[in-house]
Amino acid sequence: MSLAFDYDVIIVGAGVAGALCAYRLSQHPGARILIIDPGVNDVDVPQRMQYRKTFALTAQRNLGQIPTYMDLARDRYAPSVDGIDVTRYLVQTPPPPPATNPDNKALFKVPYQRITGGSTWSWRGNCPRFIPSDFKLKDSYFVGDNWPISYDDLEPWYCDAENELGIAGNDAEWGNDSSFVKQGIGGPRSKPFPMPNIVQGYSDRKIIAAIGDAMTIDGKKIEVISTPQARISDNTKYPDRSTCRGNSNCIPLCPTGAKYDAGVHLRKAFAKGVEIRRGSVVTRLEIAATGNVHTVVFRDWRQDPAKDQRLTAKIIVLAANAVESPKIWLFSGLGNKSDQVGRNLMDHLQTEIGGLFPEPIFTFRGPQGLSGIEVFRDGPFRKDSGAFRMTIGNDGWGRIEIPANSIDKLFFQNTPGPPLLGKAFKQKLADRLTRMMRISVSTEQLPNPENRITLSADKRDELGLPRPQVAYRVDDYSKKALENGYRVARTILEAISDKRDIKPDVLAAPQDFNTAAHAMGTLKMGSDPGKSVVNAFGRSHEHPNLYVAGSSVFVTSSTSNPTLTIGALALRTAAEIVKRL
Amino acid sequence: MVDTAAFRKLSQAITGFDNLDQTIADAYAARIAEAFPKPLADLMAAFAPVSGSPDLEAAVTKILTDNPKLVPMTRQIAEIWYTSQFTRDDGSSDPPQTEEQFKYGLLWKAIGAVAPAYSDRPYGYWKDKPASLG
Repeated sequence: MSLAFDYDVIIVGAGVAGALCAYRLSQHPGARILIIDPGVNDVDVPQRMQYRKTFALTAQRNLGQIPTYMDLARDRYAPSVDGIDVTRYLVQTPPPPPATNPDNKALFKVPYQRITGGSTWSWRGNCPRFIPSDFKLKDSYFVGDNWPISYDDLEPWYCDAENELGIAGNDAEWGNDSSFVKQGIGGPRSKPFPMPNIVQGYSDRKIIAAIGDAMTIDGKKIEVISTPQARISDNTKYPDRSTCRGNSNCIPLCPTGAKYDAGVHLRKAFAKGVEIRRGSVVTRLEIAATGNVHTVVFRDWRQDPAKDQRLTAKIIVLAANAVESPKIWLFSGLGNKSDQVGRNLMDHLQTEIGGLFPEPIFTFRGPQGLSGIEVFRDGPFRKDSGAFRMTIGNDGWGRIEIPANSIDKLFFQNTPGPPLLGKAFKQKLADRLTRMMRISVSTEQLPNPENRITLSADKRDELGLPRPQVAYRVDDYSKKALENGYRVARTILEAISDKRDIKPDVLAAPQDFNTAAHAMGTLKMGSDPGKSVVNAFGRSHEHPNLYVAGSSVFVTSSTSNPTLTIGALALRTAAEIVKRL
Repeated sequence: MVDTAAFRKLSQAITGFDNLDQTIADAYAARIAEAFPKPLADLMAAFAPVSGSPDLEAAVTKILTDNPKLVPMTRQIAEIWYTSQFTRDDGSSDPPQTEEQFKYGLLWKAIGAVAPAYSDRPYGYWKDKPASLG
């Protein structure tokens, strides 16, 4: 331990990456760890109940994930993208390319939370691993890039992260004897899942039965399997967390804590003596004469006026997200010899399609998604078009038609006659909502240096910091993936939906995309300091005591939800940092 | 003042749910009356003569057929009972005032589900279809 600094490690950001780092570092005897975070919220049960109440009483409940967290003074001083107006904080430029829906198409729409616990307050909890080819995309398919590490390098850390997050998964469907691995799509597993998979829903069973054993599309057998999830199916091993109660509200808020959030490891870290500076926005990281970064300058926005404060550490971990981390890097003037800081911004592009099943399947009960189709995550087609994952929704039509809109639609069904009301209305409503099924498609996006975060030259936030400016467009590789994914989803839906209902009720997917809320890239890892920002352990090439944790370091996007990989990499980075304490 | 007992009776005809909670009905009548005093009064006045009808749904349907201007008010009453919120004249939403109102949303009862974030059911209940619908 070095007494020359205020702390051994300062971690910027209290999301999943920062929380896992803090927790793992706190296991090191005597380590003095500080987290700096703009949030002022707690990560305890009363806070969760307060958020639930806010959710229930907000008029904007259906408009996005943020309203649950919006009534915070924090939002004024540490704003983020709210899921409703994607330009209120991000400066979106250059103008969108031609699009069928210019309001929707070329904007970077990833919402996130600058609160303690980060965006894990509001996520689905899906935790598939990346697959081996995701790490060697260029070698395999001559597109994108290669990571400096392989699936095998990360595999033990996946096991570690699965254990920490509490992943419920099905070994028969994802293990070494599974079709997923034997087909060469998924990588081998060295350990079983910590818990059995979350039991699939009545709707999943009906859909699986309807698809049967013989459906093949594009030469691939359609198999619906359970999705590994950071959600408790058996709390024997996780006694501090509840089993899932099926609240159908994973986004925006799990009210029980059955679903993992970063609060799990923040609480453990605090119990081990990790400190946190709340309400604190980093305004600068200072470079010492040695080239190291030891000083974090920040302001507590609750003070009036908020004045710069300084704290030092032997090691700094930048664990904001793929927008905030490069923003801090850039306005601090940290090294950027590679010119890769802020570049290669990625998301998973989503589209979805809904239909009416021939009989009630009763979604809106249980987690919002339990199953998926994984066979399109890899294949020779990736030379030309992106891979995609498919999710079977357990939430009606999701964003396609929220139930309140169904009510409106059915109420006026008889127009211009009298409205449908009473028991007939109730029956019609139940018939429609209980038969809704949804398939969503989530595609990979290639790293593109032109998709990037920079700093706005003239637009500043309440604390006077430059707002992040985004340049973002979608290439043909991803557009083809969206088209293919939509085509496959529609083929499945047309095969199993009630034919009488297809024409009026199978909705044509909008010919644009939605966000998966998965910001990735912008501080990529690599072996070559001339082409990357950090090394394979997340350590800055130019500032040897500065580490980056989080999806910023991703080289490719995969089709997997990123959180498990964020966790695995963060734990791996923490292990590397421990060697230097 | 709105006759909240009559409002509850009218609401049952509109929603198709029997035995609506009177306390919730009191609160909803007040919320609607504040936003739409005259439209609600007009609808209640039209409903009063038929409130003893053995087939209230048919009676309300006839009221709306005879006077389509009352339809928007009826729609707001359906909306508040099913979703615990309604839409004001300016297009904004009037949100639930209490968690109890949110939990009482008839929408979820109608499909055998629970109000999001307020499940009182055990792990795995979703693997079977609901025993009954509301």
